[in-house]
Amino acid sequence: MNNVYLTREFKQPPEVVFNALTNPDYITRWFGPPDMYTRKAEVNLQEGGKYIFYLERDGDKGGGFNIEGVYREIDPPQVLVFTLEYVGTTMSRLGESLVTIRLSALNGGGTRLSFSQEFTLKPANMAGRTRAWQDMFGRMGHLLTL
Amino acid sequence: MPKTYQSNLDRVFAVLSDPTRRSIISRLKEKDYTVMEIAGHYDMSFQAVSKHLTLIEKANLLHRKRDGKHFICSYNAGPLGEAITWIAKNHAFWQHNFDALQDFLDTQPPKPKK
Repeated sequence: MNNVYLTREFKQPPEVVFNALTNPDYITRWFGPPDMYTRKAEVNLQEGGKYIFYLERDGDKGGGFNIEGVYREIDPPQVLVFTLEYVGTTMSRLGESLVTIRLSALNGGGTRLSFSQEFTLKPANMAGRTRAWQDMFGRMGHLLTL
Repeated sequence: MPKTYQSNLDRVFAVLSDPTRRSIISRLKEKDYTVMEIAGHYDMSFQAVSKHLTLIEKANLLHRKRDGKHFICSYNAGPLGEAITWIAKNHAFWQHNFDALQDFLDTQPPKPKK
């Protein structure tokens, strides 16, 4: 129920839109909520590769947060699937989500973009719990091999 | 019961997808207004503003009560709770992102690279 589904149309072809979505030099020029901007974007554009967007407030208001995740499926210029987590904001409580972006060419050279963000992976507190269990099993495994 | 909740969420998102309605809600969060006062803030017909108010009311984000010959509007976050705030914030976040992407692409030269 907290999932997001959006569809947009752009005048530009899928290649151009895909590039704007994945090229860190481009991401910093548009990505971010109102009153914020992306100071830096680190992108390892391969399946299993990580990305981090560093968001900051306009001016010297201070405060910011990161958006990070892992690319799961990359098929330029049609498909981009990645996990997404908000780190350091109230929205972090939404937990980890899976974002799927599909681009299709429109007659006349444009692009239809369909976006979905599904919070199906695990809630935020579960992520913490999973990490705790992993740590514990890690320590346990270490003890057992001593 | 879950079904009603779901469809009200849809109404909430429909309300939040429009800049005028978002602006009305920000006003009402500060204080109560009469319908006339709200209408005075927007460069559109009274009917158009009234339509927006009805949608906000249907999503249960607004209460309207009669005070003499005026209707007073007040913001109601009650049934939605805190969770909806994050969810709505996230929804608005992506709406804004794609607006910004659109603006960015429109400022790019038609053939940026080979």
